[in-house]
Amino acid sequence: METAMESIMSTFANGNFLAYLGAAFAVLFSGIGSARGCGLVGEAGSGVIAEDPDKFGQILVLEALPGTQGIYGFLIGFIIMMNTGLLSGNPITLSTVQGAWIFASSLPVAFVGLISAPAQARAAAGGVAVIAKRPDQLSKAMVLAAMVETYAILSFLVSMLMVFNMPI
Amino acid sequence: MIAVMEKLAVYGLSGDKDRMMRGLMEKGCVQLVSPETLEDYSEISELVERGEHDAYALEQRLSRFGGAVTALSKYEKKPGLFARKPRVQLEEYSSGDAMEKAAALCVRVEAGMRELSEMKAAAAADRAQIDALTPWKGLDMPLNVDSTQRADITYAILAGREPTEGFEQAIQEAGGAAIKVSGDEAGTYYMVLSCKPDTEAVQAAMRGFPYSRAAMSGLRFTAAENIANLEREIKDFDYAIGMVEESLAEHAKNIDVLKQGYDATSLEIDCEKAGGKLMNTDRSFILTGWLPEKELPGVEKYLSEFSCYYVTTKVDQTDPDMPVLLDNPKWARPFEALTEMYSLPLPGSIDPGPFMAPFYLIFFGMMFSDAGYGLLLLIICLLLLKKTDLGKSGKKFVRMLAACGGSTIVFGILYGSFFGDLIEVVAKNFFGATVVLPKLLDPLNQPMTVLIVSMAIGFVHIVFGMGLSAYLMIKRGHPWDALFDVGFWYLVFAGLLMLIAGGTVGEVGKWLAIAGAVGLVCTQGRAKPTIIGKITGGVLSLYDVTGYLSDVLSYSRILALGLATAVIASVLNIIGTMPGPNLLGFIMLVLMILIGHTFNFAINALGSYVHAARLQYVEFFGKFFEGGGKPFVPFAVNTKYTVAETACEEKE
Repeated sequence: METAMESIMSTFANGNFLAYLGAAFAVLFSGIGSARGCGLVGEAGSGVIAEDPDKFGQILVLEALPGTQGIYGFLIGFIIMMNTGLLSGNPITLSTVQGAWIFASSLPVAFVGLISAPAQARAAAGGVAVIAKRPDQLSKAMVLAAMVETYAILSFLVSMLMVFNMPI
Repeated sequence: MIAVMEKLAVYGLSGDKDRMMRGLMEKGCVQLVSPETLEDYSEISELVERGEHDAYALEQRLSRFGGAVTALSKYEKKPGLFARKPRVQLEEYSSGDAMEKAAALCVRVEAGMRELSEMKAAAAADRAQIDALTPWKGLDMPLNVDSTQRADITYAILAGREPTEGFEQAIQEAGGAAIKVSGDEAGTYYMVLSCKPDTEAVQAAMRGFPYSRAAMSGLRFTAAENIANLEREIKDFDYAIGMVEESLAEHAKNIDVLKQGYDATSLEIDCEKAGGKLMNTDRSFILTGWLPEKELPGVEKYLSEFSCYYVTTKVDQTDPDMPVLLDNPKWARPFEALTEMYSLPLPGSIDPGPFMAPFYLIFFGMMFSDAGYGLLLLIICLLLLKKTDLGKSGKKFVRMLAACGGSTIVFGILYGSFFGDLIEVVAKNFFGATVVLPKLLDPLNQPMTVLIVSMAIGFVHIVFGMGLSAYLMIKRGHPWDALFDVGFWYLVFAGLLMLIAGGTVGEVGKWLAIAGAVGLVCTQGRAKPTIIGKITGGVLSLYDVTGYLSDVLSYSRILALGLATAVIASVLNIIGTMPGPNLLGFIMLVLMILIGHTFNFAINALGSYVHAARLQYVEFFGKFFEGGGKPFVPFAVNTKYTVAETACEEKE
């Protein structure tokens, strides 16, 4: 019984595991958010493209906007992997505390990405309606959607600074 | 700068009207308005009548030409990546000869299109008929025979895939015979035979089932023969369609004639409509419009060719009805595109273009921040400018992006970034050499420094915006407002900055900040009617400091987007060199450069453009900008498919 407990502890309360869990969280949740977001805008956009295929370029720009959260998450995940030596093939052994720190630093980009991408997508899908009626007003639609992205950028920044300045 | 406008009124002779209008159109610097705005309009209104315009016939011609151009463009040989529009001298648009040619071609194209659509419809009908006949293919008797001397024949389609034993049995019981011809997903196909006396009973039995009659009358041969005939017909149609398409492709070589005709017609429509803004008597006409002051000498010179009287009047430059034309020195002109995208400034306010330009360049450069990407952007923009026809606003926009590319190169060099760390990584991987590009500032290793620089530039940006608002207040004769609303905040900001410096400077700063804050508390509630309102208004205004703080923090995105560019690029380079210094590694690296860096370029160029614009629109414009100006729309040569070449070439 005791040994089972110990092995569970050594697996899950292990610094390296927590750090990799952080990398997984960052990529996972922001990726889910962006996938949902891009899907939402793409769906709204295909209706417009069916009517007027020439608007594909403009719609594509709007669809790309909620895709950035996933990229931010991917970057944080990648940096965690890089900093913990996972990519170069000789992983650093992390203490549980260090692992928990790294895990914590992945949380902003993971969860803000999860929520802000679909929210931004709704703004961008509204922008699709703008494009349908007034294609010359693309930049206004873009700025409206970009307002939402501010918070994803801030969370990315904090995650990034935390990972960078982590004493390992 | 918002261009100074004057009002122009021309009194001319009717004989000169068409020539003068054409000339003004070519000059393209007068926005025609109805003469109701003339001061002595009420006196002359009884003498003149409004010009009428009837562009109906012209509009019809325009839409026919437009349809023909669209139809032909399918057969036009694909233009290369950089397609140029045909050049047409302005006088050639009014050539009757060219118009006749265009009309003749249009008729031929329309006939071809009509033929094509008729044949396509007929072929489609034939195909549908074949589909309907295919189930009866096994039947070797003429289909139009529905009775013999003794018997009746009915062709029935039993819907669905249900078992059909019941049907056959029921008919047998009624004295007929149901012969199954074939079956598919849509149903089962029967030939039902009955002796004449039993026909009634058999029909009654059939009604118990979901069947429909197949329409066969008029088909003289067997199903197989009919199908063969139809297929032959379709083949003939296909051949004929090919012939017509070939002839259309031949016509498509002359598509420029139609394009010119289209544009010539649209110019005629513009002239016709402009005529509706004139006032006429039997022998003379009155033309009124807005004219930018700097165009006055040119227009005066032009008008002196005619025997006419004209007068220009200065107007109040803050009149909200005055159309707004942005007129900036050459270096700031591309950035008008950004202002126009947001909104034109109101007359009498400030055109933010030249003030925003340097900030936009810095922001964009710091966000995109890669010498390689900047070079790419610059090259793409220069190619677009040189090789394609962008139109006036498109040109402005691309020029702005080209300038941004230049600024990106500068910041890329400062950050020591060329396609991320491509050079270092490749040197290390393939040649085992350690190359270090000089970095004046490295966002990856000194993020805090870049963050502080970003926010400092942002702070300057905001303070500058407030300064512009103070300038507007002073210009409008409210210097005290400028002091209260902007000056006191400046005191607070200066004090707080000195406080950070510490020491005796900090002590002075503390008192400066307090003085500013007291000033704000005393003045910010001044619009409120009651004493209590004044005090609470003043105290609450201090909370605006959080607004300014969040504005400044918003500039942290400059660091974040710069980091995103750099880190994605270095991730791509790492992946590209993962397989090591071998052939696979080389292929991987080339793929990463071609696909990965293109992707990073696109996504970050978009991000930098949008977010640099947002910092202008939200943080900067919010401080002083007054939008909602009406655009200056001059009566000018506007063409769609061709580029008009005029004697006075576009001034750039």
